[in-house]
Amino acid sequence: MKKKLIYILGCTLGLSIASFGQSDKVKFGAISRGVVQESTLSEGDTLNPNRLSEGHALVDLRMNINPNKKTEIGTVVRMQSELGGFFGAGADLELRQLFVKGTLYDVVSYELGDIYLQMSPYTLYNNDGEGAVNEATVFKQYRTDVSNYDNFNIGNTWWSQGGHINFGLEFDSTIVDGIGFDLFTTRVQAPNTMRFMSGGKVSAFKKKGYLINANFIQLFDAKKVNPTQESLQNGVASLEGSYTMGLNSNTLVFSGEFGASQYKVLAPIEAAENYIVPEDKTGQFFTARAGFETDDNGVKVGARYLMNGSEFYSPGAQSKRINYGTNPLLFQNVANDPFNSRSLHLYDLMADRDIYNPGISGTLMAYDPRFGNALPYGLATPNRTGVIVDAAYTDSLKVVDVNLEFGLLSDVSGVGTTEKRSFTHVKAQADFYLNKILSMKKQIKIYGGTLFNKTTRGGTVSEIDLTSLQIDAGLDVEIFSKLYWVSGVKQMSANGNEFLFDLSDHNQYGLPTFYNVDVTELMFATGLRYQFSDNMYLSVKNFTVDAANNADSTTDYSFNQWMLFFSLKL
Amino acid sequence: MRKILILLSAAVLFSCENEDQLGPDIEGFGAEPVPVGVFESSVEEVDFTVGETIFFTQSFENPTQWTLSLVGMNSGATKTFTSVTDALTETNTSWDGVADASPFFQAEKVIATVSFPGFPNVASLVDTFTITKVNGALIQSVLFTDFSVSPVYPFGGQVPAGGGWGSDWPTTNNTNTAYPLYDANAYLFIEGAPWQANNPYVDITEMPANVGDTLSDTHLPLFSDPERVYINLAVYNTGTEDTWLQLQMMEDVGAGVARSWDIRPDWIGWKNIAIKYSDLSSDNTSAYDPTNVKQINLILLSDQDVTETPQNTVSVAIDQLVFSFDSPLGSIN
Repeated sequence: MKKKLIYILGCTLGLSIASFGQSDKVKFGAISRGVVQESTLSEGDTLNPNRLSEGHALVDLRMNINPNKKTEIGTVVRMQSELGGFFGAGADLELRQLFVKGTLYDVVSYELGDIYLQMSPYTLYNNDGEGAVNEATVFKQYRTDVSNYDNFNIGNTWWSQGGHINFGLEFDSTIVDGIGFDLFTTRVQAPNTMRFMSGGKVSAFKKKGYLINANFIQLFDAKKVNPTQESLQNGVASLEGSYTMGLNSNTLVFSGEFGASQYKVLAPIEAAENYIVPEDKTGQFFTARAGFETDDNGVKVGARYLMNGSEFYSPGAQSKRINYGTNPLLFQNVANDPFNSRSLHLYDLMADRDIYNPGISGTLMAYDPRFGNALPYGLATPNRTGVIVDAAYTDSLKVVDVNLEFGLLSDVSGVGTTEKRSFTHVKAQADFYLNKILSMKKQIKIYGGTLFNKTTRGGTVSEIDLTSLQIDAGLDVEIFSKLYWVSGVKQMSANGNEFLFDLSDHNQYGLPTFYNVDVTELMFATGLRYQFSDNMYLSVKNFTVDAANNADSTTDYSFNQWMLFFSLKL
Repeated sequence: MRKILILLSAAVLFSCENEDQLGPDIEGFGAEPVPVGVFESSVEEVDFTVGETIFFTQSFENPTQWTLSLVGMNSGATKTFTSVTDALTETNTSWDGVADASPFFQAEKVIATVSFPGFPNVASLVDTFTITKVNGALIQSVLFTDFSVSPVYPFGGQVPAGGGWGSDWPTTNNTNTAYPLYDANAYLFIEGAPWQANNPYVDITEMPANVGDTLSDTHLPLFSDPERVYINLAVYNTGTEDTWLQLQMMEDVGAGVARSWDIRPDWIGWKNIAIKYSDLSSDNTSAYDPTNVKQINLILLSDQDVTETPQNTVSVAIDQLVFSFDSPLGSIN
């Protein structure tokens, strides 16, 4: 068997920005935006100012230095000015990103500094935030270009600071085409301790055949940093694989992953007399999917079985993008209540940069059942078992694109009772290009999505019946060349009850909160977007935001917002 | 590699091992609480400076979800315990005097109440006790001043004449009459209009690390790492337009170096503000050093165009200036 070393592209992703002012050694690029918002709260509230005007202008200046062909040093410096700043107050200059990357001996690829990492959905995966199912462009652009971008959420990667190397071996064999190695270690923000996350994977693959990954990741605290501080160790190991085979002119795809986690807390070196070490927790998971795809990729169907143990804890895959423990920035206290913040609205999930969680959490973060109760931590949601079937259809002219997902799941262990919850999960999204039917060149796109979750459980006090429904719809019409009328609507309604447990104390189930909800949230937006080029646009939009608590109308509120938004990526 | 093999082996060998039930039994919450005996505190007076603690006792016929709330009758500080048990005991209610958050307990009378979530019709149980001394060393946050009796532990020093912080401006004073109280006592109120030509300055309240140490040799006992120190304060928007409050931490470098933060109230009522020390702005390039702070200044300014006449009156109320370490007491600003 002949083998040779090859350079393998790793799993990290970087911001892809076209460059200007280039030379062989130094290249510049920039992302710039300006936002002006005018928000008006409905009458009846005496706590908040009725109108708020805010905004900012910023430039993220990127410089890539190539001292030689095998090394690249990258920086992003942010210059930001808040609307209404006074004598420089609110103006900011900060180093946003810094990294060095390159290759050693044309074999080993390395990165140091700010890096982006992603592994399997059970080990290291930044699940999408809630509140969007194929949402309208009028919402999506702000979520993508501001909220996600500012919080370093690119795809499903986690932004980290540390080091990463990868390299591979290529074989001339009928059994294996290549083996890849991917290793990283990063620093994780955590109070009172020095926390790290290290891991990697070994991959073996056969082109047009199989792929096998052996994954390992460990979140851990350095010992002896603080003698009075306990240390966390949370490791996950998994084996994942996929196999593709032809069936006539179609394709069968089999994939799966299984593994285990261990959550362990080490007592402080100088532990208090009454200190009790939290119990170790081990959890396992198994998932497998079989899929069928027609040769033209027009039809795809599949079925997945999953079994996630009740105490399977994987911080890299279960940390949430939205921190539901934070309060919204805009009109925080409504309904004349100075002490309680309003709940996060669909609007906040889209537009509030400050509610986003920047890093990996050592404990299972809280979630909001209004936005989905079946899989709040994505595929890696602990304590779930069941089947999910999926289907997708695209016609040959690309007029219609439909995706469906239907799942029947249940608890693995009862929570607060021996009786288990049942979950119904339906997710659907569709794109329809009307202009293709009408043979028009200018785009008319109608699209949308929906997420329906239902949770039930029997019992007397512990009975649960919770339903949530989210609907997204959008319409993009190219009125004149490069000028689009964009509009969209979002609605979320949730009704019923659940029991929520606080796991912030070492993933131990605390006291339940009796959660009752009967709310409807609505957001409508419309506006115009002028697309100067693929990477520059100017839009003006109007948002109407409404929240109704059907159980207590005194907490209802609504507000209106005008937004002027300019985006440039060079 | 050994750890990977152990975890994968565990996955295979114990793939079906899961608990029947996670968390406390919810069905147990259904029964109406039936108290047995008398609710009482272990002592009537407690001195936290000598290591004393206090606990509470009460039995119930069945496991019951209960909430024990301790509220300082002067400070308004609160401490809450909650659990599901068949009794309040030393194990689940022992208390060393630390509040849940700002404001903090003082030497004062405290009212203890046991209530039952989900059963509003079941009468709450009430008792009282007295804190004779507070142990500030136990608190991860230290109260610099609550603007009632100032300064307070652990910064020591003399109380200025009149009981407030020094300012010769007649409308800067400690008061508790104009606005709702943030805690259960007075707050600092600053009011006025710019009085110098083309200058937004209204008034300054200077608070040295030690009031008796006018030469400022005393520094605040803070962590040296500016990333770990947070300045927390409550600010009341009195509704006057163009109000601009500047917080300054004066470091003992040369003639004094200001690290500052601008606050422009645009909310209604009180708001908790938290500022990380390293986020303060400064024209001086020397390294930030919280251990070198000799004085805190609260400066009232006006955002009104300095060329306009007349200059309008601006005002602001401030309370509970607290340093916390490693984390803010509220949302970071």
